[in-house]
Amino acid sequence: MKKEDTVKLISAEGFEFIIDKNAAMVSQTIRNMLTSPGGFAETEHREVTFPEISTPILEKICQYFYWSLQYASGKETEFYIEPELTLELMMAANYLHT
Amino acid sequence: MKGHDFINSMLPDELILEIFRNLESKSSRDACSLVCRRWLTLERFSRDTIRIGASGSPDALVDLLARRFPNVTNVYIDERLSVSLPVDFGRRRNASHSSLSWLRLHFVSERSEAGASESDSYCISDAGLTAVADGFSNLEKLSLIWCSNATSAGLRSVAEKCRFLKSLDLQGCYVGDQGLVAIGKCCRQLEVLNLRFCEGLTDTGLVELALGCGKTLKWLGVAACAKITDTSLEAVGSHCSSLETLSLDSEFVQNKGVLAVAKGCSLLRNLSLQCINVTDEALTAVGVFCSSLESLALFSFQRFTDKSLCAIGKGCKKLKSLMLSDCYFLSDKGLEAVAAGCSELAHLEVNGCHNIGTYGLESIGRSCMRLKELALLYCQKVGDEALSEVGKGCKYLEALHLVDCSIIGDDAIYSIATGCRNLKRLHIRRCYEVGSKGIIAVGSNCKYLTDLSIRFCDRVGDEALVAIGQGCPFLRHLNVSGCHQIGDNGIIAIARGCPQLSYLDVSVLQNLRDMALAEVGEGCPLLKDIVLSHCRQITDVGLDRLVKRCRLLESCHMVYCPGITTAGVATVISSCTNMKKVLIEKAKVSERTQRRAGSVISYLCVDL
Repeated sequence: MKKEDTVKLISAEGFEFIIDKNAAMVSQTIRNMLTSPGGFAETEHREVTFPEISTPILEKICQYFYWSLQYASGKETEFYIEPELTLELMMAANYLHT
Repeated sequence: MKGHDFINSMLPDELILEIFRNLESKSSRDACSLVCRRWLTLERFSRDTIRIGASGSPDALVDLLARRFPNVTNVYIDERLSVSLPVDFGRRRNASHSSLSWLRLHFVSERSEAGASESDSYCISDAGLTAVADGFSNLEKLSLIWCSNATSAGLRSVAEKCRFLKSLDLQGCYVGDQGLVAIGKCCRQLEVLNLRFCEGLTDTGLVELALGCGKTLKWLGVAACAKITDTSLEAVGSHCSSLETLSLDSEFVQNKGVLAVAKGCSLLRNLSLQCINVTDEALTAVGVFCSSLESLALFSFQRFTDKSLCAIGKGCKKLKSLMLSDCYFLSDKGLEAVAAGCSELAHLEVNGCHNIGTYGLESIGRSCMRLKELALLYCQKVGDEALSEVGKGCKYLEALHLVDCSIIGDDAIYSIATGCRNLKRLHIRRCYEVGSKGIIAVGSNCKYLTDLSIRFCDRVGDEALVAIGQGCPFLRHLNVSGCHQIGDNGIIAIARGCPQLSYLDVSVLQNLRDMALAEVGEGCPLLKDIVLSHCRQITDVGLDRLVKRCRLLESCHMVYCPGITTAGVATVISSCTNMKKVLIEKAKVSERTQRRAGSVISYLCVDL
């Protein structure tokens, strides 16, 4: 993958997730950050830090992004969410406006 | 006297027609048509509106309709809608204008006659338009939405035969200039014209139309028409002196065009602009010339500064509604000018204008006493003091929307609650500082509240909902999705205190259990929609108690609930005869349930 097509998402513990830009844009918040002309620092470095989202949640979010792209292109599978993750995952999803 | 039919023997035709005129829904009209032959004839005679989606052999269909309903004045053809065949009892997707009558299509017999290929003939052609023109000579409103086979020739026949045309909607049709010229020449009473997404039109067409019937034109909409430029707008400015509403979305229009409209159309009341190349100069002119302006909506105005808003504030004293979306350079100064000048302001929406902060909103609170609706989206700089001024000054506030306003907290909501006693709709999302205190104040003070939505406010707890349950008996719509501190007590309080509840969203609430659902069943019999997704502790038992009492339920979303099984789903389907949508995982639907109500069930959706 070329560097311009990727975005780096950093969790609270400092874990870095490098994902495809299209996947990241599933989140309206990230989309706004990356496309706004207002000059967010994130646009420049293509890195977004989430000090409030923990690593396992951020990992699940990234999985959700890719699943969402697959679903939109026709491949209809189910996305499983472990019950323990539910609350934190929903809060993170709300924050990211997905 | 038993067995006598009084209605048909005593009432004359005119009275029955008068009664039919009061029927609003399609189902009522259909029911009347089935009573007897006389009523069938009269109902057909009185029907004034028909709506068609994309249909097989549309030309023949139009013919049939023209013969059957001779007095139709409004024809709406929307080819985004798919056909609903009588065999597969599917639902129509897009239902606007529900108060007007609908027409169900029974063209199975027509289909066998039509020789044309199936795929082509779904779109109405020029011949079909000619049939419309021939059949409905009293046509007043014609709407052709995304009719891709309609061209200028068809439009010309409509123009020539339907001289009383008042409203024409050509959204998404690729018609050419000649059609528009013909309309301009023939339809001298045209008042409404919608040209959104008509990519085939150029200046020639619109200029000729303005020359022809510009005098009566009141409503004009243009969007994504690359070849319509300032020239057209100058013609509009010169000839359409009665224009009241203009909706313009174009990259190709510059200041010159908007200036011409501002100068020429002094009766302009509603203006909606999305034109990136237009700057202060044009909007200042609007402020100077359009003193009757009542509503202004500006989208993505990258190049506007406060100067424009100051001019608007000075000149448009009758302004009632202002919508500013993504106007990056507008700041408090501009908003203050509007506040000072437009005391009639009733509706204000500020979306994504990052430089507007507390001070601007404070001035609105101080000066605009008539404010009824306030919406603040992505306003990270607006703080509590702003809303406290609004609370003090805007006693008639009915609706407040706060999305992504991260520094607004309890004090703000408290001030609004104590000051705006008429509050009816409150919607808060992603404002993390709001907690129970603010919502308790709302419960204690705003007894007319009908809609409350506080999504993902994780500092709000049960006490808040108890207060709402006690103080807001007219509550109809409640959404507390993601407020995970809320549990059974809160929902039970709502169930006991708000009998008119019709929409409830308690998704993602981890502490919610069956007992609460049972209480909702007891207390809210009018419930129509419920969202239970991600509620870990809800099981079939609670669901059962709920649906046994809430018989009017129309939609139920319950994905990701491990406690709900096939049996629960089956109970929902069998108890609620009005059910229109059930969202559940595929694995939880048994064969039998699938057979019984397959069309109503949707499977796992894409959203979290």
